[in-house]
Amino acid sequence: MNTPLIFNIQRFSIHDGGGIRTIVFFKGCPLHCPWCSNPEGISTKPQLIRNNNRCIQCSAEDAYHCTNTPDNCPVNALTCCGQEYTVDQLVKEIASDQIIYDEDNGGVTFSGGEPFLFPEFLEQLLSRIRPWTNSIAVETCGNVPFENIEKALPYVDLYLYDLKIMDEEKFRDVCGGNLSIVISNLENLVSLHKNVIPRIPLIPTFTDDVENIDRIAQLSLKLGLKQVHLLPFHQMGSGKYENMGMPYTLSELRPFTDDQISAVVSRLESGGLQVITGGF
Amino acid sequence: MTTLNRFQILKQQLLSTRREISFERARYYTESWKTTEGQPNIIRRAKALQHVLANIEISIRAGEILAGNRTVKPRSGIASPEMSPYWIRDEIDSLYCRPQDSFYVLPEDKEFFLKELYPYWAERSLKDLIEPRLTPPVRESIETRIVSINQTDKGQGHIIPDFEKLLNLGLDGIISEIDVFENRNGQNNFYQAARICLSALQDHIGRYIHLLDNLIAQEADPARKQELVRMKLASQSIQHERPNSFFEAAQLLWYFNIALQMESNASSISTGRFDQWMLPFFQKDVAAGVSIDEIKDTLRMLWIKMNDVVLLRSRESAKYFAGFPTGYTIMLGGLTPDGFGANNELSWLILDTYDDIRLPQPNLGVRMNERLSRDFVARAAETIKLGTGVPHVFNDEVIMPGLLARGISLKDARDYAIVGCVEISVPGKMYGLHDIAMFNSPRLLELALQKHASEIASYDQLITLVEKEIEDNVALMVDGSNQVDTAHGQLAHIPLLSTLMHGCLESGKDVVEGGTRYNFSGVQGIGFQNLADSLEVIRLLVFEEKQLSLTEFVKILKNNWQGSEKLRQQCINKYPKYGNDIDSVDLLAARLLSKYNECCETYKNVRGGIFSPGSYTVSANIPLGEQVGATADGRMAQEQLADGGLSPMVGRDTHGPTAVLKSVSKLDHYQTTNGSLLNIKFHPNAFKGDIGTRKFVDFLIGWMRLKIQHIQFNIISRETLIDAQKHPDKYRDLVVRVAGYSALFVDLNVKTQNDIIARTEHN
Ligand code: SF4
Ligand code: SF4
Repeated sequence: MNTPLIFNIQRFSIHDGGGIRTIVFFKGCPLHCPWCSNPEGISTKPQLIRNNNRCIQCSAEDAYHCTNTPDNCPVNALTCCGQEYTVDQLVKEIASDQIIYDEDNGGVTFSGGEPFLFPEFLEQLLSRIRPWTNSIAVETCGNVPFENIEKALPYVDLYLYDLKIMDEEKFRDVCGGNLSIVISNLENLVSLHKNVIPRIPLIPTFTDDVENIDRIAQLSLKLGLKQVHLLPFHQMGSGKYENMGMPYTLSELRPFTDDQISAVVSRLESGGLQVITGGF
Repeated sequence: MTTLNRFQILKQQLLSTRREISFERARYYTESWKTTEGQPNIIRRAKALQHVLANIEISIRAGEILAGNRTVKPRSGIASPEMSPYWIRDEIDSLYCRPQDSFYVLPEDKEFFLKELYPYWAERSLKDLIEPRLTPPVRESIETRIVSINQTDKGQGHIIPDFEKLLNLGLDGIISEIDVFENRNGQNNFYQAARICLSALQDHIGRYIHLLDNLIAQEADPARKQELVRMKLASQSIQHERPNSFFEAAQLLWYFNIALQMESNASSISTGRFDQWMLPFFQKDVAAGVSIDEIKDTLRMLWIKMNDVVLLRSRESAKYFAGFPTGYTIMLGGLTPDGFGANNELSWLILDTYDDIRLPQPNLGVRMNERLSRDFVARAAETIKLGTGVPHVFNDEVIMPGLLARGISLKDARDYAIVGCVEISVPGKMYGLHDIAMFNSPRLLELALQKHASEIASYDQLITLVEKEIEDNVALMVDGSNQVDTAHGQLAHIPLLSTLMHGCLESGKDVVEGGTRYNFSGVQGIGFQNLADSLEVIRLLVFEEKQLSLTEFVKILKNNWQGSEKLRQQCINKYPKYGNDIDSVDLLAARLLSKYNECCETYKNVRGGIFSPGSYTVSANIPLGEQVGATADGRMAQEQLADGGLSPMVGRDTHGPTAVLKSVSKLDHYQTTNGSLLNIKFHPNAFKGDIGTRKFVDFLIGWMRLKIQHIQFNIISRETLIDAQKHPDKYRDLVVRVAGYSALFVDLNVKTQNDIIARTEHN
């Protein structure tokens, strides 16, 4: 079985999915979007993160030059990203807030990275938590074999499904993905499950052109979907690139103004879609 | 005057005036005391109150629609040198420039105090009665700062009178009740004193009627004239008889409260379940066609009045109770006597009118339970989201079983309410001495380590030592508390208040003599979070990893981590901390707090009750922290302790608010029957809009199911607070949550402000 590393378990998330949720982040993604706000979720391997803001220079001039291990760093400026969990251990973590997220549509969200890179592990986990978990959501980029998605079908309440760049070539060049797989998976999924919501990262010059937005709207409407989520670009993840020693190419981009965002929202709405900005 | 405008003006008047001290009460109290020498103290106290109520200057301020002011100038402090003249003498020059709760003293008042009041009360005060009673070991425990004993220099307060009885019987009705019991039991000093107080109050109301007469005669504005006439008629109506309307009930309630303030000048004579016993008056008025707006105005006026009463405390005491937690604490919701959800229309109106006024008082709380309607919980959440920290929320699902286990009857447990900040009490039936002592557990560990480090060979041995020290010091705390209790029983009678306490008339005894039904002494265990965090570090660092010896470690702590910053950081970041849902350390905190609780509850107090443990700090985590050197959890010497009583140490909770709830829930909340306190801070974005409110309700339901006693919220951004610190003038009316109560941010000293800013903010 392909066992994932987990790079974060975020409790009390109130911005992704309904209610109060615990989010489990799987490490490893088939894509590499330059705006990714969880770049630590791209590689499946463990990685060292150097958070220089925390460094107290106890053994080196800064965290980037430090040769200590995470264990020896007194302030956790050095941390190892990606931890192994057994299904049992993860079940226990998810259960710890169950009493709190039990209300209305709170629950668990699997995110990443890409949870469907680990179909057997995910299936085992889902079958364990299903009996007592209110709502189970999965965030996916859709760029995986459909059988990976299919395995989880009986357990999942809600899919948050990324639609980014709707041009085959551009999508491949920018994110390294295959658009026809993403679209055919979405079609299949919608035919089998009633709760799928497209998520659109709104990124200047990458996804925000009118044509791209219209294509997403058309596809959604064609599939009978009623709601989309719009996630406007922000620079919040940029520090992580530096900490991981990864190049970040979007530092020049400016976030959208409220007016620009409303323009996109109206465009989507005019076609008959309900738009939620920033998720739930 | 439009009605909201009226209350904004009255509010501004409160906020903009310089606080002064009025020595009037002290003057008349002393005058009377001098003439009653040789008489029983309870009679002397009653006569002193009578003299005060007969002579103190009274006023109706412009725009007021309810009569009754404790002082003529807004928000003045009043002194009670009969409790202790000493701290006033020592601090009279610094009162105006002290960092917390400053007051201005007029030069002539200062002279009057030093020449007349001080020389008379020196050697005669409550303090003089208490001091010689404290044995050397108790003194030592106080001097080493493990135990602090409160109310040695002021009245006890911390009680909820049976206002329902007041409103149902009226003043004459209570007097007749005294007659009945006097006939049955024979005359005694208590009955006599109670009668003096009640008729003194009636005469005091008579003075207001007279004043209103004069004002009416002078008033040119017909609209205002009508308001004054209404006040006069209401005062006449309730001077003897029971009230007939919501307005009259409010008027009687307020007059009685003013007299209670004059009687003891004590903190937290709390209001209780206002939405329950005012409901019949509300319903009757509504049926009679009184408009909701008129009722709202009465409520708004009461809320303003409750902020007019601020308590003058000593410098030290003001640190512990920073920013005037006067304690007009009102509980909404809860259960009916038959066990159904008890929110009603009036509960909603109270929140609505609170939203209009937004001041620290009344300190509203909601009693939450499985049967309380969710729409009311959502309504309460809306008010909490305004950011003033009001209302805070109490959990019937754990508090009631705790009370039942203490021998409180089922009906009384269903009727519990909160005194002051978070103290759990039964209205009209409990004298709980809720704030008699505090127990500084990190200080206890510090001293134990300094004395015994070299003898301790194992972690188990260390825990045994800590548990033994807890036992020994609880015994001393109990002894000290009982001495104070005894002295109050001799010199701090409150016969007026006692008339509204079940059992007092029946037994013919004042509450301070043990006259009422339930008698507890409430003692707070403080800093068990720091204690557990520190012991966990020692367990791992010293005994498991053997990185250094215990004596070496204690030496580093003694030097306040000097030259050991790396180790300090390691202690902060590398070992489990309470507040992150990690069993090893959470269960250790639970074990030690339970140890403390179980020690306390084995002791009896002098009124036949037991010691009831609690865990809350008010704002004392700062002064108590000043008394503790560096601790093994990475805390520097003199830094604050963990706030609240249950909250994690600032900055140590890194796993979000649900992990905090989980950690807190591992403590035994059935045991802390005196009350406990949990602070949580959210950024305003966290619960924005209707969906946010819904998530907030979810969070509260989760909290309730986890059987945690209490929770309060600061929903205000760090940026706002920092800006308010820089520009106090822009934020004169910014109300924030301190600990079990809210205060005006500008009324807090910089340390307390910083403490609030530093609390972990969840988003
Ligand atoms: S698909 Fe999502 S997780 Fe993967 S790289 Fe793109 S943004 Fe990041
Ligand atoms: S160990 Fe940590 S704190 Fe010390 S120099 Fe290295 S990165 Fe900085």
